[in-house]
Amino acid sequence: MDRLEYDVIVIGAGVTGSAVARELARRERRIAVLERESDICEGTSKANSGIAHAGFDAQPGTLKAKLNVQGARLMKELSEELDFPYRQNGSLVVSFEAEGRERLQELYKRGEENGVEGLQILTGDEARALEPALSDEVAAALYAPTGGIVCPFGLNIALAENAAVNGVDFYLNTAAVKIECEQDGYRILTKEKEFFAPVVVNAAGVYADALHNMVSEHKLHITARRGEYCLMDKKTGGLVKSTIFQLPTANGKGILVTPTVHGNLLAGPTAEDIEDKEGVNTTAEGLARALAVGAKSVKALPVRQVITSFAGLRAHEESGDFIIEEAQDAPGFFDVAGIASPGLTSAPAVGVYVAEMIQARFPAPEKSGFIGARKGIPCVAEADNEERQRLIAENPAYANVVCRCELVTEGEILDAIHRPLGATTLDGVKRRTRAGMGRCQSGFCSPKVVEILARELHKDIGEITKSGEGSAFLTGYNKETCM
Amino acid sequence: MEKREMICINCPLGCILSVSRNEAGEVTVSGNTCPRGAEYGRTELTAPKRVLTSTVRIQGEKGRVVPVKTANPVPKEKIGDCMEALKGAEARLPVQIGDVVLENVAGTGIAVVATKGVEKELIMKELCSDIEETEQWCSEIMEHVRERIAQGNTLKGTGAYE
Amino acid sequence: MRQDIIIIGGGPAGLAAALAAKEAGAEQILILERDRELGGILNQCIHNGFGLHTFKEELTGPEYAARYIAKVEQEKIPFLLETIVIDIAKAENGDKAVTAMNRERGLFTIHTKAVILAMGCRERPRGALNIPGFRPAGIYSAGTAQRYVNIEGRMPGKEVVILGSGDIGLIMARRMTLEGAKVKAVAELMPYSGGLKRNIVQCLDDFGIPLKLSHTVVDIRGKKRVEGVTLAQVDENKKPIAGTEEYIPCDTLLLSCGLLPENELSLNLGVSLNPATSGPYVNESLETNISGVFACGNVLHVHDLVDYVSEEAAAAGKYAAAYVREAADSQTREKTETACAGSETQICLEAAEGIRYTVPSTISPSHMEDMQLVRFRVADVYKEVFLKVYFDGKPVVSQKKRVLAPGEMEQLRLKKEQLQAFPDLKKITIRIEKEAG
Repeated sequence: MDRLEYDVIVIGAGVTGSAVARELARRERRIAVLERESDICEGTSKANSGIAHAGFDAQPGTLKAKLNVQGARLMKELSEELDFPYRQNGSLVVSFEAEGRERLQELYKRGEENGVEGLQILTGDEARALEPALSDEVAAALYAPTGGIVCPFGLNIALAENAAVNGVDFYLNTAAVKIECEQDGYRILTKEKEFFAPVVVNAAGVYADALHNMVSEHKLHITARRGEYCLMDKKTGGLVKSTIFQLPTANGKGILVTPTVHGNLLAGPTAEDIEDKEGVNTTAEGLARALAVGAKSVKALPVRQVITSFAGLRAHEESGDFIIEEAQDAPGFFDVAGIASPGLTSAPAVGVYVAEMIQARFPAPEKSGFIGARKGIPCVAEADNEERQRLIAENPAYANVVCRCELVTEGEILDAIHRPLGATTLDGVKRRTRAGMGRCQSGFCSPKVVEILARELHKDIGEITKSGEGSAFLTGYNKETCM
Repeated sequence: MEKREMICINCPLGCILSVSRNEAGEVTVSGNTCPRGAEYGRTELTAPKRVLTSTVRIQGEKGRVVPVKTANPVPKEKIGDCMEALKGAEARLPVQIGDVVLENVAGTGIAVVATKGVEKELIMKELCSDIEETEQWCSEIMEHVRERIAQGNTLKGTGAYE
Repeated sequence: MRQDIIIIGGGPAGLAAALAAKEAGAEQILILERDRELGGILNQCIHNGFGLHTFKEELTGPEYAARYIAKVEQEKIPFLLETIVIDIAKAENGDKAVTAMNRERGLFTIHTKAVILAMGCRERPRGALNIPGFRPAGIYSAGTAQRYVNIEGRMPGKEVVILGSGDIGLIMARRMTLEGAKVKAVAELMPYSGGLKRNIVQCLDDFGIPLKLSHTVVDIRGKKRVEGVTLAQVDENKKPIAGTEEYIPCDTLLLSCGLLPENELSLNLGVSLNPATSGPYVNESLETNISGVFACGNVLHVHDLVDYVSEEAAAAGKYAAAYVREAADSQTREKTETACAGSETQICLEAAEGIRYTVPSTISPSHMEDMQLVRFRVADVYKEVFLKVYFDGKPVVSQKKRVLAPGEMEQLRLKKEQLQAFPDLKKITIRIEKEAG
């Protein structure tokens, strides 16, 4: 078995692992990211609310509070540097009874302590003046103008791609099966390869406890907290401009109603602790709850316009805060665990924070020629006609529409496949281009995308999968078995 | 005495027919509301037939198939045998609608014919069908087409379907 | 570049509309088709049963399409393939500006006097049905599976459960069985099938495939690929009944739960849609509320027989040609503009008890022909009832119907002379009644 040696190995190519890898790549280091799935952005990072939280939720003094506010501040600039969709749309926490005002006041104070700017408490009518679709039951609201929405895939993929461009090696389909302490470092065993590095970053999401517990006596326990969502047609995205939260509960920020950066409307998440760390199944009760509770926030939630539903798992650690530290009894093993909400928002700050922590303990010289900027895949749907003409002149494939609902062209799909860390699966193409995310939910375009993937990857269409091994679309040829 | 219940498919009414055949071989139909129902019941009991449609592979063209049908209805009980026979059948390019792909399928005396024309290569016909007289509305396209035709006489998509 | 008529979609509706428009004297006709070939969804409908009304013989989908395609080529009606229309906008002089893209020509805009919408429909996806469970590979709309099996010759699964007894689902139950898959059950939420009777007999009964009425899928198992689904019976409110769950191991779930007209282009143009059909409101000339924009086929309302699509599209083609002719004369043109608003010159058709909708929604007596065809669907299964038509509340027609079902489109013929007998007629009401009255 080959032994691959690195200075730092990051486990997990979700948004946190990718952010850490990118920040580490600013210095002279050999870095690898190990990902168990067939693509980046396959776990918690792909199924969440897509919110850049303003930062008034977390208890002052916690890592969550600090990194949330820092992450939110970094997000705009980062979205320009790395070219992913982000919009500061503001958020409202609404309360339905007059007593709720006290709890809003509490959030307001927390927000101020955390350093959130521009917070304001509004009466129900003031809130409705801002968002006419708000329910008449809304008695008061906390307005946070710095709240935003971000494409979770866009952020994750941009960070990972940029890390790869800066020399980070990504190993997909490479689950860390076993981690052993060696002198001066850690041996990481995967199914096919063996890795070694003095520094390991554990960004394994819901599995971070399992990895941590392989090297440390101070055990972590992470619970998968399932959140179910309903996504509505783009026709409905204009119902509200800002993100509408209800007062937070013990289990999280409650069920929100928000436009997405791409103009859909999203309702969710529920919160339910489950045993199965891969239990991303939706339930009849959960979906009904997401819609019923979401419907309280606004006058008419267009529940008949739901085009898809999904569930994601937050990695909830018992302490309630992010666990970002070097394990006490495992030098060089850095946990980035319990990254539940606001993990997406915090990711850019987590990257910086972890890189600084590692630099303090394992210094490396600055690298010349770090490429900070990245240009995303062009988006024909959102381009104006002049830009479209330019793209088509560059490659006529930008005129060949493959996904008609989201107006995604063959050119964009070719980009998605041939970029660094390119897509190899249908879901990979979908997250990079939105092909199949529209109202027909890939009914028309999936055979075409499968065909393009097969052609470009020099495979048979029978080998193309939805999301890696075991998820092939086709099971054989006609007439292979008798009727 | 043989007796079966069946739903008549002649019209949306969907009468539930009771069809029976006595020892002498006489068939009686009840439950029908019109003569067509009686006829349907009789045939379904004595000699049900179906037109079978499927696809067959195209010789030498990996992954391409052409749709086919039996030129006439075949006995229902032969459908499995017909499918088995189609397993090995291949059509040859160029295929025209009505081309016989398989004679006397499964001993039924009925041929299997192609139901779609297939050319060797996908030709974007709209651009090259009437070069001479088409069309003042888009001279630029026509110029492009003439160029492409001069090069190779077919107009495939840009790399997509080769 | 200026066209007389641009037809959006080269499926059965677009082809028939183009031929009829040409026959009615329109000159500059252009068909824009987004796929690689003309014929639309017929290309993957390789089963037979098409054309009984039109050609008096049973054809397969590709054969039916080929007859129209051959005529379009013979008539030298130009068409562009792999060309997607991204916008239709109003332009000067009542023209429409159609913006489209293709590889050969990039992005281009063509002005036209009239537009015929013939974009067809799409299938209702899983999300719209809110089926809980995992989201693995192996869940397809019936049409997607049909494409794999019939166009690519590839099997999307070996053990199949089908949700929805729409015609495509029934047809795919037979196709997949013939090609070697085991279809374990077809579940239908409603207490009746949405498909044609002959498809239930020839696609399910012939192969012993159970049809479970008043059943739905309440869970999907399998993280990477479908491993099984749980069916449950539903009550009269379509809610699953606890204790009736049945787990069926399978690797594939096909969805055949209804079709939705694809009207995003129409919406952007400002065409108003009928919520009952998700297709445009049209008048007797199949013209939408936007003057010079016509609709036909499944983009107007979902049909079950392609023959009716062709027939309706031919009418749209003819009316569009007449519009182009009249548009040359500004006086008649203005009349057409105002006639669409539902004013004094128009009679409104009301879909009352038991009728989901009618096409058309309005009739302008001055524009109608000697006989006006009204197509509609009923809301439920009715047996031994009367189809009644009232002119401003006065009974005019009473037809005895043995059975009416939502799965089968119905039609009614109104004669011009019947309407002329009521000079101030405002409203025609169609309803289902139990008594002959």
